[in-house]
Amino acid sequence: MVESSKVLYEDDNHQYIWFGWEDPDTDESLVQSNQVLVVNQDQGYLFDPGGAFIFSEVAAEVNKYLPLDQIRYLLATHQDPDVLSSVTLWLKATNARLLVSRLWIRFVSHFGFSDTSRLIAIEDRGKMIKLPAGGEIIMLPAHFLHSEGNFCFYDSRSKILFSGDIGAAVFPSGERYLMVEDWEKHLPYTEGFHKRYMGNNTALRKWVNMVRQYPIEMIVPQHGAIIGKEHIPSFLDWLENLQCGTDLLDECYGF
Amino acid sequence: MSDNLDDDRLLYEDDEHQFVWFGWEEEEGSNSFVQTNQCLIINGGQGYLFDPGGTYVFHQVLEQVTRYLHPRQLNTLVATHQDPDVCSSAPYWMKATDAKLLISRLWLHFVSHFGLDEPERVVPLPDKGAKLRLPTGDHLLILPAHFLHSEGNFSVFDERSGILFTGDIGASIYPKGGREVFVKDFEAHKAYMEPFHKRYMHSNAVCRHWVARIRALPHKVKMIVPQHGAMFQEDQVEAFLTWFEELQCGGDYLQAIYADQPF
Repeated sequence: MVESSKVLYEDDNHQYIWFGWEDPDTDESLVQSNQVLVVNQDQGYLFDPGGAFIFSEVAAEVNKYLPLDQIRYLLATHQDPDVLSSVTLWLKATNARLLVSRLWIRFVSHFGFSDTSRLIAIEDRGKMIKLPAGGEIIMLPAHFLHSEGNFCFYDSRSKILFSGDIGAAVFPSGERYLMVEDWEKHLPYTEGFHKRYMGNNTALRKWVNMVRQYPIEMIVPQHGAIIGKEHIPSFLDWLENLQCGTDLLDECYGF
Repeated sequence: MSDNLDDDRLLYEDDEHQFVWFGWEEEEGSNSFVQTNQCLIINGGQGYLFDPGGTYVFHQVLEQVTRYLHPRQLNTLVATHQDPDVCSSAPYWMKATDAKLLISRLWLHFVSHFGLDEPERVVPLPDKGAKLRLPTGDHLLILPAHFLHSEGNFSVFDERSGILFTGDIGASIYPKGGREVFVKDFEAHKAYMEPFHKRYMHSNAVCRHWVARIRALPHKVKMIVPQHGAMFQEDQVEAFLTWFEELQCGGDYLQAIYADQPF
């Protein structure tokens, strides 16, 4: 059994906390999802808050670490329901503002809220927010991987990269672990997803080249297991050579 | 006030088959929501609704649908893809009707996150698409349109009316007050389509793939209805297909997009 939250990094003024929500009925109707809370000084930054269905559980777990009204920003890697259909509830429960790609600003309102003054568009090249006790969160472009308007979030203080769907794994029923232990064993759980959902190899290479310029201790995807430092080179090497998405167009169009 | 732009339009009608368009728009002056279109097919007393829309528009769309049939007569909801403007209303529709929701297999375990109570009523569409038989024996063809923009994405062709519902393909975004129901001047209309398609659509190779598939359909496409903005009729259908198959977009501009340069 994997626990439902864990502190991945901690110093006097900064914490990086992972939350892993899993369907208790394991009926496979919902994909498992991870959320991240960065607490810097007394302010919170919540990444990919999750689906409407899991809001109460995630909010209760987050509240163990930080009162919800101290969340300053919600950051969404992209527009999918498992990433942020809870956003309406989060905006009601907190005073936070939502950062999301400019591509989805006028789409996310369709989840059901009208106060757009709390939505901030991330431009295509990305964005950086300075943290009160030092360090920053950098929103790195990850477009077409899979979403057309997509970002990863790098926390410069913990050196942890939240990668959204990149590096995501879907476990078979009954199997699940928090940290990748054996990359070769892990690969089958991640390969099928990446081959079908990721845009193409060109977009992957662009992203891998960018990410290699940052010192990274850990990669936390939105689904599945955390990739520790020792497996990051294998992960990036695999990713940059993967044929996926429109590289395999004939297969998915059925002719 | 724009004149009745949010009214319903009957796009096709015979004794046994109707194709109805609903165009929903946020109040004048608001720029917070993208405008959306919904389509309803009624065949042999059964309803088929596509791209049911966002949570926010649910009540308005439901009211329009009930002018044509009882919600319990809705047989099938089709979502071209997973975006909130397309199907975040799905949990409400599942409660208000007995309909099944058809969506790409890619989004099966994702749409449940909207909060669906009965995941068994969500039917995954295989990548190659599907053919739905209507009570009259005619077919709705659910055609692959992957990566345009969503990775698991479909267009819906109604064989009987010859109307093709294209989801985000062909979508247009108008400046305030400039909206049309039907495209009037195709050349002028390009300006309202181009920015959206250039950034959201995956690449020219995929556009070509889809256009070839549409050109190979057994019946002529008489009208194209996108999920946002105006519809294309008659000669404009071919004009649109030609424009789209030549479009450079998305990953074709990867360098510029990563650098936020104009393209």
